Amino acid sequence: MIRRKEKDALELETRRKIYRCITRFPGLHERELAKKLEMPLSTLVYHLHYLEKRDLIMAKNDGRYMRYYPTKKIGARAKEIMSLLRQKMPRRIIMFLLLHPNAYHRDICEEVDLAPSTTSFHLKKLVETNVAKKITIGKETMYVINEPETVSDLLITYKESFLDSAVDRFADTWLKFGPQYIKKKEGKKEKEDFSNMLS
Amino acid sequence: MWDYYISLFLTVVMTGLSALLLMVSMVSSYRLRNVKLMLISIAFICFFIKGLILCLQMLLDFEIIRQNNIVLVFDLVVITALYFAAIKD
Repeated sequence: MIRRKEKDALELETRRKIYRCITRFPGLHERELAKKLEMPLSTLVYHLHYLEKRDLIMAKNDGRYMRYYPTKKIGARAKEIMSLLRQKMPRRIIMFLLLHPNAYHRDICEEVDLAPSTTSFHLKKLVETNVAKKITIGKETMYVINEPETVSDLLITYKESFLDSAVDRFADTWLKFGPQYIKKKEGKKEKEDFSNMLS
Repeated sequence: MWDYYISLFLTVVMTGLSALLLMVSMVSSYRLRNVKLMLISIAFICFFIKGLILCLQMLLDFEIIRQNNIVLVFDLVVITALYFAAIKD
């Protein structure tokens, strides 16, 4: 199970690399791509077929070589998902849920290292936009991505811009600035002091 | 003469930086739909408008802000927006 998840994550990263290379240098053929990416030709061909089948790239035969170009077809739904992928925390939660479907709320909190209320805030956004589904079993809540294939395809095309990282940092800084956050920090410090005293 | 150029340079830098921060804060509040970030955007809008008016005033040699009170009003709006942003949970 773990090996499968590792493989999925690696494949996603490899496809992103290939997609980025094609968008940066459109019109390269297989051998040129393999050389640029330092990747075995057989692996590259396998991923190129995957990307082509999902309309992320297109191949054109110039009579001698098969050359690859990005398609850049983004619909309204994709744009909605993309707006969430541009935000750091929702993106981290989505990536975690893709690799760990049916993850519990506490597991997500641990993974993103956020307070349960903040995690719930981001998860609520994912549920409201229909990106994720909430499953309640007794007192526990599980989350699963609704269209994992569409979301993982968009993760391939996603590229963080300067504005995205600036917006993330800006929001992080200002949202942490408030009495509630300071109280939490003080509470944490008190707990740490108390445990230090005990030890 | 040097005083004029130094003031103009500082005003242009202030306006440029506030424009950048205004853009980032507006995108953040739009993406996160957060009231706190919206208040911060209002503060940066005021900074930007103030800088723009001061720039135009210096370049066109025309007094748009005659009274010091108007500058104070801008500063008050900035401080109030930041205060509410800081106390908002």
